Amino acid sequence: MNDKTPSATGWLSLLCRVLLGGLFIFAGTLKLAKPQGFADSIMGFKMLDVDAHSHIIITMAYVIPWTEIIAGTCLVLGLWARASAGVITAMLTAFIAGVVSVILRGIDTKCSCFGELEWPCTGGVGWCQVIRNCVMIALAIPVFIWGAGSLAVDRPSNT
Amino acid sequence: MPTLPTHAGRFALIALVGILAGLTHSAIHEPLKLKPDAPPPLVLGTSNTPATSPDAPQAVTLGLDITLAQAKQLVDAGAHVVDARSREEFEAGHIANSFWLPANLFYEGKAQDALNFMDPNTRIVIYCGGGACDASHNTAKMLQENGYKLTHVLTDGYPAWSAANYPTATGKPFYEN
Repeated sequence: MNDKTPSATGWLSLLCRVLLGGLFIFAGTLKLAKPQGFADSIMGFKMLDVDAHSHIIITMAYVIPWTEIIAGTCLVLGLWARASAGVITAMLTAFIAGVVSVILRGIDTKCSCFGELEWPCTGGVGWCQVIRNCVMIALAIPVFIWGAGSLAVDRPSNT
Repeated sequence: MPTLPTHAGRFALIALVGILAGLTHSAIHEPLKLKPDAPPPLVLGTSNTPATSPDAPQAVTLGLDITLAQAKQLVDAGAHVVDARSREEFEAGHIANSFWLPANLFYEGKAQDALNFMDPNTRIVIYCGGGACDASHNTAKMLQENGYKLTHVLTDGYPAWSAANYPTATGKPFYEN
């Protein structure tokens, strides 16, 4: 455990990584509970041809939620915090690109980012999901700057 | 002495574990269905068909995706009609006597309210917003998994039905009254 005296930045990092990691564990678990629904949502983004790339869509329906859960768990525990925040930020960036692509192409589809729960967004894919993902990326910034912070498995020099 | 991986190495390791877990899960889980099956063929416009009009078009074998005219013939012959759009869109306007069954009701285990009123041996016309919407195909998949194999999708969706001035209604589904 981190034996350094807790500081304000340490507690801020802890708060951000527990919030962000917890959200990702929650999102991944909801998706894994309904993989068919998530596969339908991936198809709804119309970025892959269903006939030509069905195996990729099915693989993504499992790999994305599992990666969310594993990276989220590492982040909550403060284990390899910067790397897990990096994985989550990379995923959020990809999600933003996908959502913007859907908006620009005028496709009416659902996000299923949090399974059937889309709080605080309602309706189909839109700018609300982009803003929500940007807020989540902002939660990763303190972890990048100050590391895992307080109550972390990582040692201060190893975050 | 082995050294701990760098940040980039840890990043790759976390991603790799996620990928391996996902691949393993997909290998042991029952296969996901990406597209609905084509229903058993139905020939419109012959003596064993639901064509009701004396000036019915010449015989056409219906597949999964059907036109507005074909949907109208099926509906007039007593087919079930299923709206796969959101609740708000349904209540603002839907094909008369539609069931409201977006695919997420199946995922959430809430489809039975509508299924109680539906006969699995009756043809079903499913629609959504037309154009690029795929909600009706998702609902078709779920209906087929629940034993309702005779599903057709009105590809031009509710906008085409409404524009043709065919019967519509507003408000809650009829079976919720």
